[in-house]
Amino acid sequence: MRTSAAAWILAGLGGAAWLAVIFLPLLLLYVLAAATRAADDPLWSASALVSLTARTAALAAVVAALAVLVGYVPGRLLGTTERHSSLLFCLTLAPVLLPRYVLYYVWSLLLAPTTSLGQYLGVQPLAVTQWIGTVITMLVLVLWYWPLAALLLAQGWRNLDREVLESAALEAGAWRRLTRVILPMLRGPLALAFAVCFAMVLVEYDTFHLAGVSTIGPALGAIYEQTGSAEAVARASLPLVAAAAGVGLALSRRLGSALVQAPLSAPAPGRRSGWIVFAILIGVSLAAPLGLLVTSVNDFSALEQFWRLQRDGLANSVLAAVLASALAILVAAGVLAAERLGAAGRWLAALMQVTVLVAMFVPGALVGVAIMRMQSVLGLPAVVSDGWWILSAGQAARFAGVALVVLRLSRDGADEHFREMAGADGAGPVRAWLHVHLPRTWPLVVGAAMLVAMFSLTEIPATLVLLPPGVPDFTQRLLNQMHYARDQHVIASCLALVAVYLALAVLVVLLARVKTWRAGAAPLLLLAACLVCPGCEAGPQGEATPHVLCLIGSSGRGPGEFLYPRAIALDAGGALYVADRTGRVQHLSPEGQPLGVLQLPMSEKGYPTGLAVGPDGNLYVADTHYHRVLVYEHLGRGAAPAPESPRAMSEAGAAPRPTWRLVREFGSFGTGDGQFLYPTHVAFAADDNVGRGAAPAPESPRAVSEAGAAPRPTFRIYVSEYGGNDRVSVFTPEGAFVGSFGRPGSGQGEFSRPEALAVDARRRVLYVADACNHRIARYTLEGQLTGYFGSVGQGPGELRYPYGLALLADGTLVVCEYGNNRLQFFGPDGRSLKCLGRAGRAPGELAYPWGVAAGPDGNVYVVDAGNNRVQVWRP
Amino acid sequence: MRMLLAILCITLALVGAGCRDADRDRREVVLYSSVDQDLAEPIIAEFERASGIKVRVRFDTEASKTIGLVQRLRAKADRPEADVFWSSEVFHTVRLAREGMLQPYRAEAVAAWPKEFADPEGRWYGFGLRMRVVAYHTGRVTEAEAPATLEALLDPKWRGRLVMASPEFGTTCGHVAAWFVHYGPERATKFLEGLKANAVRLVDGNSTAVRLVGTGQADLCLTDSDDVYAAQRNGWPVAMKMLSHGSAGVLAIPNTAAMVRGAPHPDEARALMAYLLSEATERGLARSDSHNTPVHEAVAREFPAYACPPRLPVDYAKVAESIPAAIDAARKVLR
Repeated sequence: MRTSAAAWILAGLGGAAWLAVIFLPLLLLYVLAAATRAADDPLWSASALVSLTARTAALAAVVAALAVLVGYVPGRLLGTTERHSSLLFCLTLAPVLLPRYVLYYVWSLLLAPTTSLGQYLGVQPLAVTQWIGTVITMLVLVLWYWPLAALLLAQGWRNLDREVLESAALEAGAWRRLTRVILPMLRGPLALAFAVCFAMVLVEYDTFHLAGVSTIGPALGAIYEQTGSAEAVARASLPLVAAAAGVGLALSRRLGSALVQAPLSAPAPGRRSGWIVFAILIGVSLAAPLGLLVTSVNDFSALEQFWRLQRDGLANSVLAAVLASALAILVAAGVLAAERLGAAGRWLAALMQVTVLVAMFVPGALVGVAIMRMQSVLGLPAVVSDGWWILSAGQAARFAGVALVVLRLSRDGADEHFREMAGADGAGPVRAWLHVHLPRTWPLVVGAAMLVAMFSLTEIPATLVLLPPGVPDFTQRLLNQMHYARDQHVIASCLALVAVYLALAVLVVLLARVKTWRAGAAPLLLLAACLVCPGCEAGPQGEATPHVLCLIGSSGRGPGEFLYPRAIALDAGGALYVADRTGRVQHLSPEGQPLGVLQLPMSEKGYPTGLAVGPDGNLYVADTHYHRVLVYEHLGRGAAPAPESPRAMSEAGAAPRPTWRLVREFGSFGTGDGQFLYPTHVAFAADDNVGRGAAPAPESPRAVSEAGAAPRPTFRIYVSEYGGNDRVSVFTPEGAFVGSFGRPGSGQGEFSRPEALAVDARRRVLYVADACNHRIARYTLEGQLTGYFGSVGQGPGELRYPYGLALLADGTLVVCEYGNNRLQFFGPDGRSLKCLGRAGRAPGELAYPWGVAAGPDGNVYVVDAGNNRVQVWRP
Repeated sequence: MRMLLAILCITLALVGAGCRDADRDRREVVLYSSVDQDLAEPIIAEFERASGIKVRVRFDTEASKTIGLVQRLRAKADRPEADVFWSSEVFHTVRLAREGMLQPYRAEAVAAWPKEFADPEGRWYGFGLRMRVVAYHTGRVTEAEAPATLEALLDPKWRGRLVMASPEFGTTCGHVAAWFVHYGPERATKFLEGLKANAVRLVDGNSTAVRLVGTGQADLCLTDSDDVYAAQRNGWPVAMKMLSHGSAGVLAIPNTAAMVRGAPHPDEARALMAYLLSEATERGLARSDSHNTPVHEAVAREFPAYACPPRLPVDYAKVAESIPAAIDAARKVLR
């Protein structure tokens, strides 16, 4: 009685979910479509739609045929290899988990105009580049679809009659065996693999959308957007739905008779070559794209930004995907439970199965449109349609078929007889399933749930239709980033996606492998969910809101644009020098208008982290990764391109005029006197003989102009460095070594990455930002340690990775905290006065600030590296 | 059973976490925005911080920009969910105004708004201009060669070398409609036929068109200035020329802000409108990598590099009115 009730409950719940997200929406949509006059159809003519559908079908047929062809060898390997079969299965499945549009985007990175290959292709005849573009789109699709074909063909191989194969091996050659025996026997699986791939390519949306290939999938989305008529979309999609229904029925029949058998043990000639082919395919489908992603990272700030600034979108998408996965499993379980409820139940289960599979093969936009239409017709309350959960409905509808296929294969597997034995012992079917079958197959159930969650996480067409306001979404942002060519952000998002997938995979493995962890799974996942959810991390305390005067720069390589700026200095007139990861030092007016560009001679190994304008008016560049300090003389602004005209700006980007002259350089690689490992910053102090008691700070314009008036200014140059030789060295203006102080470590007189320097000439103090010790060291100008302030933490007076220093006219020290995303102001006595800023990307918020400079008017210029800009604040 | 309990716990925890920051007492406003998410978010964040009003935003994808949101507004006309519509273009906003989907917004700050960028009834206001341009591959086309007028695009030497976004969408749709207004239907159709004769390739969006030019799959494309700036930001070999219509000028596409009729949060909507139409927003757009041209004269003076060349003198309302006919003609000729 109890088991019967459980079956009813499971079938009822699954059936309700099926009704809500699949059957009713699609039924309602087509009933309404049939009831509406065709004359109300959109501007798309029937002939145009037929022509587009035919063209898409031809494209889909080519891709599907190639996918089956490529998947044949791996399919045979999967179906005939006993050893490492689990590993083979997982490896085959892995490429499918990388979304098709991500795969396309990654391969297109290789052909980007900035790569050597892209530049070569860029000057080839137009017909060649267009042909290559089309071929790449097709190949990417083949690379994604071959594993599906291989999995379906493997099942076919497992069901082959072994005796026939063995006889054929004795009597016929390889070619005759293939053409006369194997292919005829594999006709069904081959046709099914082709049909599944064909149906899915037919409704492909994202890849064609990105590649600019006109097909029926994006056209359906376009029809909805243009007309707002769900019925028009329904009518236009009829040929596709017919194809989907055919494939769904075929797959349904196949599933009905599916039995998971042990891999075929018949000898398979050429198995070694099969492994080689398989390895190559995995290489180009999975390893190479991941490698390309990783090697294409050249702006690490994008990775950091992703986690700090975009995790809310990812968290919401993960939530929606998890709920979608639960719903899909519920629908699939409902189908299986309904089959055990007598003849009526079997009919219902058959109907559910076919519609679930059809929903998998119809265009995603159609599923979204159907659900939205149902909401509208039934007048469902806003609470249903306004939350992220509505996305789960669309995703569950699209991928319940995946869950059904996996669950059915697990239920109909080789251990069926165990359940029969349990039945003989008096257990009902549900109880037998729970106590006999589930313990054996639950990893597969969890795997199916994970698979649906992964597909859902990157689902686009239905999500775009259903997305409610105020719900940040990972996929929508990713698609827009791709469109706006924000490559580094796309790469960061893709890597984050891979990380999420890996985390899910590791979780499943742990759950499957470690029995004792099962009880702890819920708290563990709860903890993980809390960590993922936004707002869990306590931010730094005590920050005030800064008064933002202006924002300078944006992302890019053009004039006035930055890619992860890290160093800043102000010249006598208050103009800025900013160095970023393009190997440039940009000269900008105090308002941010480009004045000129200094291209550093070498930047392949890395980029400078320190800039300073000396008392002699020269620009000193701590060329960190080339172990030297470069000294440039500014030849005047006359030669700089006028910033106002776009043409001048592009010229400035392409071929900067020689506005600067390299006066000298000093330092070389090494740990000896006058040598550097990684110099980080440069500071100046008037020499004892001329500067003692001289009031003005060397960085102030007055000091500079006074110094400039002198025939030959005399001063000391302080250079900090890290990398195992963490110290501060002192030089003459000509670059002759005078002395050094400090050594690596965290004790007194020791440094761990001294990242910035500031000189208070009035008080004769040299401040050193001891970044990895999270403190500020105070030295006399002669190098005597006089104390520290600051310790690691987020509160006032505490520091996390102080990377930049600047001095205000009243002796206040401004510390730029990379780790706390803020500026902290300290009095000359080391007392914390205030903190400004917090993590974020709005004005007044910072993402990994690297440097700070103080203007003559008391304003501070913060290098907001992660946001690719400089912010000007009035403290 | 333990497993089922665990799944239930996790689901409840996740649902709880998702709802955690729902604060019913907080003032909120619902914004539909077809502006690039990365550009809009800092501006919205600044408004939220300054006003204390939470903004729930619905963005759109690049390719279906504006039209997707316009249809969503229409679909929810009986029970509006949006308060403010911030569009990256003007044409569909005008059409929404005509359909009675928008309500007037009046404020002292917009009393002297430039007439060409304001609806006489105050139902929409334009700001932050983009330009229609020709983008070209600098390795294939020299600056001297690149066409600067629409008429020059029809030269047979560009046959097979030209790409543009589908005329059903976004700014391309408005651009084609502007031809119908400026040149008249007959001559505009001739232009479409000329493009067809030059085997123009249609793609899903302006950015895709620029990408094809950047990767050498096309030599020229019709697009918006911000898409070219995006390509240049990545170091692509793409440059642009403002596309003049004869000698009449360049089509400028303003962003538009409008209040939705029946907005559920009218007070908050007015606050957001005021912010969107402020100098701060225009300054943010000009500084962004979209480099929009400000409408506020004071702000425009701060950004001479993005000054607008002589503008095509078209009435946006008339352009919007001619969109259906233009789409129909474009589809008949080009597809």
